[in-house]
Amino acid sequence: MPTEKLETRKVLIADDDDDSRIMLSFILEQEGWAVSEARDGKEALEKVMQNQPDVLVLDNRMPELTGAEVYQRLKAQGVKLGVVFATAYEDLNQLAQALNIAHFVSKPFDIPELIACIEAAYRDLQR
Amino acid sequence: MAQRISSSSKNAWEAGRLYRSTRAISAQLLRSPIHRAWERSHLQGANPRAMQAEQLSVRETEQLLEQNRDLINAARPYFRMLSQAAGQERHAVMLGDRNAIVLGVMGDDQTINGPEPFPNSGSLLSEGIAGANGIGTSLAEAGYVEIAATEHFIEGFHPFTCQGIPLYNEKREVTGVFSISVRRPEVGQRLKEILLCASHGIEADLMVANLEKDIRQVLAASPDDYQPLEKLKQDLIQSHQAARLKLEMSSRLVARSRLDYALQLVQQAEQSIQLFRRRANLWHDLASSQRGIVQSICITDKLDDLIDLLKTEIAIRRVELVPCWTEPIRVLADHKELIRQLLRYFLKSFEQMVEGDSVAVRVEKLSMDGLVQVSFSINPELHLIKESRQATLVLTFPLAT
Repeated sequence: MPTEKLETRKVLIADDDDDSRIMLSFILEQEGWAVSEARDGKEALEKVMQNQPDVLVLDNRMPELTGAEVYQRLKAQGVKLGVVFATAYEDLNQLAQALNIAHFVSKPFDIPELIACIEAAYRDLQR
Repeated sequence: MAQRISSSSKNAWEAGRLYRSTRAISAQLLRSPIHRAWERSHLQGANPRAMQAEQLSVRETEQLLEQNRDLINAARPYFRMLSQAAGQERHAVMLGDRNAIVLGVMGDDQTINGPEPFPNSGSLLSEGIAGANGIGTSLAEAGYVEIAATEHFIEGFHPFTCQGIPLYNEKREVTGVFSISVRRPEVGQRLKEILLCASHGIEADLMVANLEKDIRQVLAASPDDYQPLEKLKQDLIQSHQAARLKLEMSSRLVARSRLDYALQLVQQAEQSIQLFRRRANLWHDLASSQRGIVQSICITDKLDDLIDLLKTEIAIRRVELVPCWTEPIRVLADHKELIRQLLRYFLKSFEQMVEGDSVAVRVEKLSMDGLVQVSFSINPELHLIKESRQATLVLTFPLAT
């Protein structure tokens, strides 16, 4: 009988707000993702290297490094993963375009909106 | 609670029978908010034998939805969360405008699209037309109401138990009403706390929309103030995001009948919304160019509020802020002007600091002078560093007695 390999998709949440990060972890775990967390930009970079997530959900205003800086460093290092920029930045559209980030949600976001964005980032990564 | 509703419902059934035959409303058989609602419904001419709500025309409904687009957008996530919490139960979540006209409905397929008519967008649910009901009555009572089955004034609504709560804007004006109708009263009780929290969530979302408008005004009127205020706005939206996530989580837990943990999370979500509301009010005053009136203000409380708002900025800059006062101190000042001035001094201090620095914020009464001095001293414990990083910024205000 053929066995199908069940692949657990991995997501890293980088957000300095403890409450948001913890809640989002619970919810994404319920959605079937293996979740890890980072509290600031520096930790986000370390955890990307360590855990090799498929998708990184990235806040912008964080200690150590902003989300934009984390993204630029990952890009410079040629790290391949899906990135979802999730921030309350006033002109997020413009910022995402300037950074060439395809997937972004404006805070406050609704969960289905974020999940759709994460799924899209994951699909893009598989192409 | 379900038992109480059941006995109220039996009494209300008898009250309804009496009313339809004699036009007398029995105060003994009805709970007092329901009795008041029936009296208003009767005086305004509602028909107790009606089977469904009256309806605006398609064109009128479209216009109404367009006029209330901000409210509908703000409510959208909370519709979904409340409906998710109801799970497989028969239910309908409804949003109404300030005149009790339905702006949107979400629920299970049988309730919304089944053979029994259910109010939809454009339905008129004011007490004068539809009698006592979760939408019209909560507006008339200016607060949360629950109307069980036969407590509804018109027969067409008897299969449902409804709860409703008015929605307010920042000026405490009613902007709409949020409600849920269920077949089983005990399901309504499970959803009550989520409904209440969701209503505050909608109000917070309306505030977020206003913050966005305000920041554009700041950009147009005083571009120099824009960057710091934009950053603070992002930080305060974070507390609202945390509230939404907690409510999302509790909605999922209620659907799985994990009620105790869900209730704890709803309470935490409510706290996050209150925190957001406090910070948003402060932010509005910071972003406004208006003047207030000179009054007695607790300056130490205002400093606490500002430090709270600046928490993320402080963490990002990796500096330390040390509040130095031992008692609440009141000053005479224009509230709005005072906090704007304090924020400017915080920001000036930050500009002079580098990573690892600290600033001591001291509030002292100057004896004899009737003045209060607020000083921002950078690295007060160090004496051998460059003068530019040792600066002390000082503000004075008249002491309020």
